[in-house]
Amino acid sequence: MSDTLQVEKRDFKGKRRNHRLRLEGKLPGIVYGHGEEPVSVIVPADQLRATIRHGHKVVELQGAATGQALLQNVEWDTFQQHLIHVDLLRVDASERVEVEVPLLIRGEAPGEHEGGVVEHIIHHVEIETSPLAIPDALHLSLKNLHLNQTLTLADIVDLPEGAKLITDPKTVAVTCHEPAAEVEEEAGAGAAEPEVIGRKAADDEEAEKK
Amino acid sequence: MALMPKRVKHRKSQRGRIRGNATRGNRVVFGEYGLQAEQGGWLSAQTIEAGRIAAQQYIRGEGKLYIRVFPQKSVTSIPLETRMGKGKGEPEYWAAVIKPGTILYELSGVGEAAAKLCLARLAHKMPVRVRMVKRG
Repeated sequence: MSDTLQVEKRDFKGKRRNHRLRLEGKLPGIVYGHGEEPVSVIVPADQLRATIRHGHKVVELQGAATGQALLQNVEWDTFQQHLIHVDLLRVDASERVEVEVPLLIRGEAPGEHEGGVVEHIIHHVEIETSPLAIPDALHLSLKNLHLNQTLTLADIVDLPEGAKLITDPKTVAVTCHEPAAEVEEEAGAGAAEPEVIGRKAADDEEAEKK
Repeated sequence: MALMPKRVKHRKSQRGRIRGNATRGNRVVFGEYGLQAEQGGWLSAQTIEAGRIAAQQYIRGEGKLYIRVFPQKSVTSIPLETRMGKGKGEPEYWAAVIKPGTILYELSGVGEAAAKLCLARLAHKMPVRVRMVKRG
């Protein structure tokens, strides 16, 4: 199931025109892939927001570009409040795509009760899958993670059928280790002022005399 | 010990202007939760250190705190009751220049409720308005 995006052809570039476009509730975007010419498009912001909210990765394009497209890159503003731009990659249901999927942890590790701290090291994994079966996220279960143990990407519990990990499955994703001892730094251990590059010690002495 | 550069090209810097929003360092990349500045300003090395202590006393070795800003800028001042002129003052402290949107601190290895409380404690120390943001 995918949402539909009604796109119009965009024949202009530049920040001023695109800024005006965003004020009208539309977004600049680009459609590319499959060896065809890239097409600059205008996408309705509310439709795209709805697609993102629904968690859909593939959309059905209508209008200036047709067919299915993958949301390859969605650009947000500094505060992640407003959409800025969208990249759409033409895809086919029969082909396979390489995408980056968030890796989340699930459950509570027994190692935490043994005095350990769980450290989540890898937050995204690359997988190769059908565009119609891209998962929202992959999960690692912590229920067997004891103190001084690790979980690798091979331990992912919900990798969809037919999907292949591109990131090395031996990569350590989560560890449970003892908390690091707090290092008390001695006050006044460092220099009072940084070294000035290119200035000799003799210059400093002269400056002090003055 | 407050943060400070090891080597600098010039001891003193001009004040400068903070214009626009942060286009770099505006996403949570190391931890799961972050503290994002909503205003621009200078964050002194002492303030960064005060925030670090406030957060680490709360998490107590459970999670990991990342400091995403570094005080690169020297701020000078002239002594009190000094006549005008005679050149620029001496460096007084070091500060990080914060643009709106900059991520100041990040936290990992703690739950959302704990992160919220920890970052709220930390936020009280900040001279700029901040908000908690999640990775993603």
